Amino acid sequence: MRVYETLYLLRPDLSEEEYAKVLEKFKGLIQRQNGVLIKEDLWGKRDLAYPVQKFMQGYYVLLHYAGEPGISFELEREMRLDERVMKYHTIKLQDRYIPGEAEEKAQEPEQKEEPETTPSEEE
Amino acid sequence: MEELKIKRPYARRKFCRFCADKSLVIDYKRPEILRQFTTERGKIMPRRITGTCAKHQRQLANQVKIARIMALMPFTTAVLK
Repeated sequence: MRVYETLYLLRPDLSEEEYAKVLEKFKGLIQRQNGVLIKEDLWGKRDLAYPVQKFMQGYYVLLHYAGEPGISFELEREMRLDERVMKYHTIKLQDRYIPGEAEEKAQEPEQKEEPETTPSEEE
Repeated sequence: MEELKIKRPYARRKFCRFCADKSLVIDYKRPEILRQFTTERGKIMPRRITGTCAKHQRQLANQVKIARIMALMPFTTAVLK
């Protein structure tokens, strides 16, 4: 199994329950494809760098999951068809899924989130 | 030879900030870091200005492009304002 990461962007005008429904839908899809959900990160409503479908905001959702190679295609196909999803992007994180290890890695960047990256030492 | 020496203004040696600081990750999900390496207009700054090494510049450019696709960073700011 491979480990993938998919970031997707939802319309900002979704109702609370609609939003929850979308999340469930894609999580369920991963399960049905015999995948393992490693982590789900809700970034919440964020400002976009440029208008997408005339919206200047959107909900970002980050998924980490493991599955057989076809799983990301299936997920992306569903996202393409779903009009609530405005954008999505998938990258492969690892070629082999080792239970436990991937979960740890997924947590890591969040913990050392703010190591103060000051851009001052330039001059 | 003398003139050449005189002409040359003092310039501090540039270094690759990603090599120097391992905690500075190059990731499309961290646009606040990537933004330091783009102009206000959103263009990726060249290595000769930032001093980034070839390896990291390559990663940087790729990650900026992904961030642009996901609307985390602008392609350009010309449309706005």
